[in-house]
Amino acid sequence: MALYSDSKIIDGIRESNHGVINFLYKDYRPLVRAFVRKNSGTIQDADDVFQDGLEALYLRCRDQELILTCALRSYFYSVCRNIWFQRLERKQRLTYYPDLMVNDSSEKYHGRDSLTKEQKLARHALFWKYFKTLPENCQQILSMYIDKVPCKKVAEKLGFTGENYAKVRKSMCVKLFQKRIMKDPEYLNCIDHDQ
Amino acid sequence: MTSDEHLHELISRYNEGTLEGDELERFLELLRSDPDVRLETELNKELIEFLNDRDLLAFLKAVDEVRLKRERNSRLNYLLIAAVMIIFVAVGCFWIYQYSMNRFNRFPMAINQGRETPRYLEDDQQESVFSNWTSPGYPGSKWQKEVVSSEILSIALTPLPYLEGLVGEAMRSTKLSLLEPPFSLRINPGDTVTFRWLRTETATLSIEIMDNLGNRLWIVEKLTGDKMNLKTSQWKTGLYYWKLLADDDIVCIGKITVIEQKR
Repeated sequence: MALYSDSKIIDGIRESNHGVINFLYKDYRPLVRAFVRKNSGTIQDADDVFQDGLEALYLRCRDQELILTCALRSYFYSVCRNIWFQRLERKQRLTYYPDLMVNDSSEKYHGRDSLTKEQKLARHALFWKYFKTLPENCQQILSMYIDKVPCKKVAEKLGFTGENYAKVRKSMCVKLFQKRIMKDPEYLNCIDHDQ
Repeated sequence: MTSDEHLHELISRYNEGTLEGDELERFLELLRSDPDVRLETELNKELIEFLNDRDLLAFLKAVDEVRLKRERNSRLNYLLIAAVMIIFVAVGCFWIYQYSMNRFNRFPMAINQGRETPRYLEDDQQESVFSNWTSPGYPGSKWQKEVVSSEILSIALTPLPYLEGLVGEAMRSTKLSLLEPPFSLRINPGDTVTFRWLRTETATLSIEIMDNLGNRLWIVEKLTGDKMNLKTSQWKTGLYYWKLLADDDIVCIGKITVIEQKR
C-alpha cells in the first residue's frame, strides 16, 4: 500500500482520489474504531463517525485553506472525536428529554451551536443513504437537475411526453426523496428542534 | 392536485424563489403558524443544497465505492480463509482415516484373517521361519539393506504406540495366569524365552509374535502343558511383541527386546 504525505492526502481528498480514500480507510479508521468502541460506541457507530469525519475533512479542505498545526492523522482523530462526543451528547439529550420536540427552548441546551456541524454531517449521511435508494430514473432526473439541464432536454433524453411532465417527475422525485428521509427515525434525532 | 402535492409544490417554488404576491404572503403566514411546514421547507431547502453540491456528491460516491470494494475484498478474504480451513480439515480427516486404517491392518486383533501365518513348529524348525522372514521393519529385509546400520537399529527398536500402550495392561481372561516371562523382557540374540502359565479353567491357548510394526510373524496354536520354550537364535536385533490368548480372548500382551547386552 502506498504511503501518502499529509499534503498528498489533502490534495487526494479534494480530488476524491480512490487511492487516498482507501489509504485513509486502512490507516485512519482503526484509530477511530478504537476510540469510539472505547467510548461506548459500536463498530457501526465508529464507521458512521469515520465517514462523517471524511466528509468534514473534505468540506474543510475544499472550502477553506487547511493550515495544520499538527499531523493530519491527529487532526482527523480530533475531528472524529468531536463528532462522536457531540453525537453522544445529542443522543443523551434525546434520551433524557424525549419530549423535546413538543416544547423546548434554546436555553435548555448548552453547546448548541457546536452541535450544528455534527447534525449537518449526520443529515448529509442520511441524504446520501436515501439518494442511493431512489429509483434509477429518479436519480437520473435529479442528476440532470443538479447539472441544470433544461426540462425540455430532460424530457427528450428520458423519453417523457413533454417539458411539463419532466417537471412533475422531478417534483415527484424530490418529494419521494424527502418523504423517505422524514420517515427515518434518525432524521428526527438530527433535526434542529429549535426551529 | 391533492393538498399535500400542492403544499409540496409551494415549498419547492418558495425555495426556488419563484413564489410571488399573495401566494407568497399566504405561504409565509403558513410557515409562521405551522412547525411541520417549517420543518419540511427547511428539509427541502437543505436537500436542494445537498443535490446542488456536485463535488460533495462525487466525494461521497468515491467514499462509497472504496467502502464497498473493501467490504467485497474482506468478504472474499473470509471466504478464502474458510476454504483453506476446510481443505486443512479435509486433508487432516483423510490422513487420520489413512493412518487408522494402516494401523488396523498392521495390528489385526482377530486371529487368522485369511492370512497365511506360520503355525507351531518344533524348535529346530523355528529357526528357518525367522531367518526367511522379511518385513519392512525387520532388520535384514530387502528394504532395509539400503539403510545405514544405525538407522536400521533405531527403526527396529522403535515401539509401536498402539501395542506399547497395551503391554502389561490387557488381562481380559480369567482362564489362566501367566507366570513367565515378565511383560517387558530384554534378551541377547539367541536366548531362549520360556512361557509358563497356570491354567484355572480348560481353554485353548495360543501365542502370537509380532514385530515392531505390528506384523504377525508367528503363531502357536493349541498349546498343551504349562510351558513353551521359544528359541530366538534366528531373531534379528529389534523389538517384538507377543500376545497370549485363551479361547481367542487376549490374556496379556508383552514385549521382548532382542539386543546385544554387555555381560
